[in-house]
Amino acid sequence: MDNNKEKIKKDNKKAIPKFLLILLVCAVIGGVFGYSSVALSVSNWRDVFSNSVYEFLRIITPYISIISFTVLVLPAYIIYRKALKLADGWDGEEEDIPESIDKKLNLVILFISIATLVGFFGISCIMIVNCGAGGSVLAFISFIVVELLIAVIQQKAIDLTRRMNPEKQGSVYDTKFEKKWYESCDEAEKRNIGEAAYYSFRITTKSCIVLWCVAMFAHIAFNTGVFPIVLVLLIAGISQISYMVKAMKLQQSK
Amino acid sequence: MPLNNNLKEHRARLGLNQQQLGALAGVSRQTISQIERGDYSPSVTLALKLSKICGVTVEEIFSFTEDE
Repeated sequence: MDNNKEKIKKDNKKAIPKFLLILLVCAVIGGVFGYSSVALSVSNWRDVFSNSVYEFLRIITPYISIISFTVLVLPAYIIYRKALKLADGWDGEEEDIPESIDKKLNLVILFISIATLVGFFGISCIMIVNCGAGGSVLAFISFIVVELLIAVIQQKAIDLTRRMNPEKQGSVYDTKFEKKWYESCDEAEKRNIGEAAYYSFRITTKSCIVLWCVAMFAHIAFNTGVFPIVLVLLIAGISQISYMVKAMKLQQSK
Repeated sequence: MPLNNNLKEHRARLGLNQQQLGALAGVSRQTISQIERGDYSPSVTLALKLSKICGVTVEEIFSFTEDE
């Protein structure tokens, strides 16, 4: 017990200097950004920057979904087709082919996940900028079409995964798909999901701190209000609290 | 503590592919692949299931080397 206490003290003593240095660097950077935000808010550059962003969004909004389709959705479909071709030619014995198919399908899911977010950003911009009736209609219709294509590609990717892994359960259109899919995973897959989820939790926590700073400086510079700050803290709170509640439940005896 | 195994040799002896062995053991093909590569150490339950399928003891499939 005493050895453990000594080790804990030693680890803390070793880590504190680096921690204090990081705090100091963050304080300096925060000070610079804070000063810059105040300077920006009282200078002409605030309006120039705001107007530039508005103009950029006004021009690009009608085409966001089209760009997303070209850069993300179409490549995702091409990769899916390559995976399908490999699966159709697989004799069930060659061990490298399923690994290659898995990698391709993971890329497909990643691309269409990003494309979904880009699509939602695009549709949000219609509410924010005035890109004219024609631009708004183009943005809206292209959003609907691209989201439908994304849903179809996602279904095909999941179905191919299930074909390669017959033990997997769940239709992508099922509201309980994620639960059913997880329940059909075995111990190794659940471990991988757990590691990936914990990694995501760590990245989200760190990102929320950065985003909170950005939201604060944005309010100082552009008077964006408290809402963005509250949203970021809400996301951080949901992530932290849900993680702790689940962790506590898992520790209880069944 | 690295866990070594010769599951692939036992699987080849039985004439099974990864998918077939996975189906018998109640796990996915990827899990069998990860075990064979040494990327995943199976639970006791799974190790016992695999040894039963292969008709050998757990120690004949899995072994570990102490960290120096």
